[in-house]
Amino acid sequence: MFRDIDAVRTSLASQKYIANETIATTLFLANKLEKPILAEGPAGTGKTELAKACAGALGRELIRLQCYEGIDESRALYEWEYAKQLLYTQLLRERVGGMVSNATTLAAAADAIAQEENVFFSDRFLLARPLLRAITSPNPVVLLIDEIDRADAEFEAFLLEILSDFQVSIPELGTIKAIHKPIVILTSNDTRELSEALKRRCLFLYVGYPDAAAELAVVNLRVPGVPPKLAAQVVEMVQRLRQLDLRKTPSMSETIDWARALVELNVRHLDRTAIDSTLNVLLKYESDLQKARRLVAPSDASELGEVDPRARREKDRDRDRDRDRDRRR
Amino acid sequence: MDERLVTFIRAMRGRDVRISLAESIDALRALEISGITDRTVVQAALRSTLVKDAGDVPVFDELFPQFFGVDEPPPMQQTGGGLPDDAAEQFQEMLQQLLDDLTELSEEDLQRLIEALMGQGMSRRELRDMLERNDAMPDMSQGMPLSWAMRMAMDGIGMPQANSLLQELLDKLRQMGVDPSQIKSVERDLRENRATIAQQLAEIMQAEQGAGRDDRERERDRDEFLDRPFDQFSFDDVPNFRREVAKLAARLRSQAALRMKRAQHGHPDIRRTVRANLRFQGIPMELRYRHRDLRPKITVICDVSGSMRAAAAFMLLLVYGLQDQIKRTRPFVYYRTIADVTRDFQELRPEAAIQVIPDRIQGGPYQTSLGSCLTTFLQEHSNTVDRNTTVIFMGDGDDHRGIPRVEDFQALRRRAHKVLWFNPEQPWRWHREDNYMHLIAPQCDGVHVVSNLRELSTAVDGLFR
Repeated sequence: MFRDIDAVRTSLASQKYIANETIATTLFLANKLEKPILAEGPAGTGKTELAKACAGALGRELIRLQCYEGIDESRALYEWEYAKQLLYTQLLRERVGGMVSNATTLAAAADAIAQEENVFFSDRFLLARPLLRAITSPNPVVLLIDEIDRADAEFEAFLLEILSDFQVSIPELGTIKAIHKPIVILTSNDTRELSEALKRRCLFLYVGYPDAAAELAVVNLRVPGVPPKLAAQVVEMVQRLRQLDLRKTPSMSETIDWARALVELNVRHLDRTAIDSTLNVLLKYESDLQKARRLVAPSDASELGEVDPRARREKDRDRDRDRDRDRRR
Repeated sequence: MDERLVTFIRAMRGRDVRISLAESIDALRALEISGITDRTVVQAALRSTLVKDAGDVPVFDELFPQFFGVDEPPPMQQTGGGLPDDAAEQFQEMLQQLLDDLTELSEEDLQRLIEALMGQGMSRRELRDMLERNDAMPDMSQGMPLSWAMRMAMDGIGMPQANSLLQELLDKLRQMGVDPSQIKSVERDLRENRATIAQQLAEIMQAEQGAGRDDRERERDRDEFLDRPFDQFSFDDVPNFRREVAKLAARLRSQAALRMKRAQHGHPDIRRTVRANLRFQGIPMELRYRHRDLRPKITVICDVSGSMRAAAAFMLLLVYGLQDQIKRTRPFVYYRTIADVTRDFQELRPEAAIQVIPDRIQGGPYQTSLGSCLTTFLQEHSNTVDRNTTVIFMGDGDDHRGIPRVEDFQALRRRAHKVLWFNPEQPWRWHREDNYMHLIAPQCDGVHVVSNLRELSTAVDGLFR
């Protein structure tokens, strides 16, 4: 358990996760109030990493449930292992036959079998999926429910019991309560509106793109051996790219990947050639790559920092268009 | 602290941030745990417990300093600083005399107000207390305009008296022969200080305005919102109503999901039945059926000319709120030209996408060109329509540049499962000049008047029946 908010920040830093005041406070409160965290924000801003870092900091196992369209209880909670049940039935057939041999009526035979019913609906045949594993784990764990916005609204409703009471109901076994209440982190890329009921049960944490200083700190921490000048140039470039109207804005994780790629290629400082050969690590659409290339000065500008006049003109045009639109409104 | 938190929550609710009782309790518990000594921690704790939508963060950040700010007096102009030494000395003496007189008359509030105008600013708390002592806090829950409330508050704390008393002092200075330009500089300082106090009062009134709205009033607003005609909405305001639209969509979604669950049984699925009944030694105790995907495929074609823009925006918000109940949606917008805006909706949140779609087409007043847009649609985008697709037009049926071709509608109807027309205008307006609903309506499988959100949701619900 975290002692105080500073302890949260220090522990996460030991896992190479730089947490700001909001993240540290929210995680501390989630721990104390025993409430899940709903971390929302664009993809690649470190929401999933937060759960991993939290598990690492507390020395707990991380149990992850990746959501997708159509996910249901049997994938998330539990499933009866039918094949195993069938195998046992076959192997125990003679024993079952012996049990009912003394029964004089059908009802008596059914009663005799019913008395042993619990054998076939017990933990032995229960296939625990991530949610049940998190609840029944003998040690405290961190449960990550990743990309909840991809799941259907019905699945969201199903999660409510677990998130508020940390218990699940299995018809054949009854209600199973958590041995240790897990720290639950739900992530959402905000592609659809989540239900009020789910939000009410969680503490809300918005994780947006970091500012330049925070991003530089993360790059220095996560990319060993990155030259300081290169790190600063990478961050400056990414921050400028985020100002453009791109189809996919580069995320924090892509900044790290880009810096790693540049380090692998022994690049000491960012120039036109380095950018041209590695920009596809950062940007994933051809139209975005073209916009980014226009942003950087032609090859005679050996270092980053000079803006291509064409890009500047385009930006000015965009700004004028926005202004005209505002005026029309 | 508790009382301040409760007022803060009321103010947030007044700005349409949904905060339940459970969340208020969480906020109190969070403050107990985190402590209240560090303002940044208090802010983070309240934000994570009270705000559950990224769109509400700016409202929180705006209101938080007003309730939990350091509440220091704002910087004020030091009135009289520009006067020559001898005049300044006399001015100070006269001012001191005036303040002493007010003390004798037990006019402490007036005295403090004059001090504030002279440069010793008041904190918001001090100003609020002054309002309450003088019974000058307007009742903002009755929808009083801010300008009236401000005037009442200024009168209540004695601003007119303070002004006239200070004006008398300045007149005396003028009689003493002080340079008029120097007196003007004093008047300018006083004016600026008055504006600062007015700004503080406005902030207090705005917070009070939010806190004054009760739940019943908000409920009434929501009902009124459903019945308000589309033409009374400004297009720019539509994204602000996304929460109400989402709520409406959630209701439609649960009805649609229930109906589909009931209707989704198709033919028996032999392979799944055999596998499911292995445990019964192959005896088919439990039957499995092929699930039929009954979700509709929709192509929406919206008129985004000036008068139709708000209705089109609501239509698209609602359709995108129901995405998990729709198999595929292809949105198009038209004015003088037509454009496919599917990509905008794939990359942006619907409320952001509806703001950029007017930029995707060309057109101006009286340039709606339904006929040519439909022809273009059939030539370039007819692959978005197949026999399972329901095509929905949202528009008034106007064409200012020609007459829509009936053959085009017939061709579209042959390709599509259904062609529906949603018209925000009442039928009596359909036969005016440049309106072709009389040609269009017979070519459609259904025409619905959808002049407000209630009617629109009923029409959209019909798609799932």
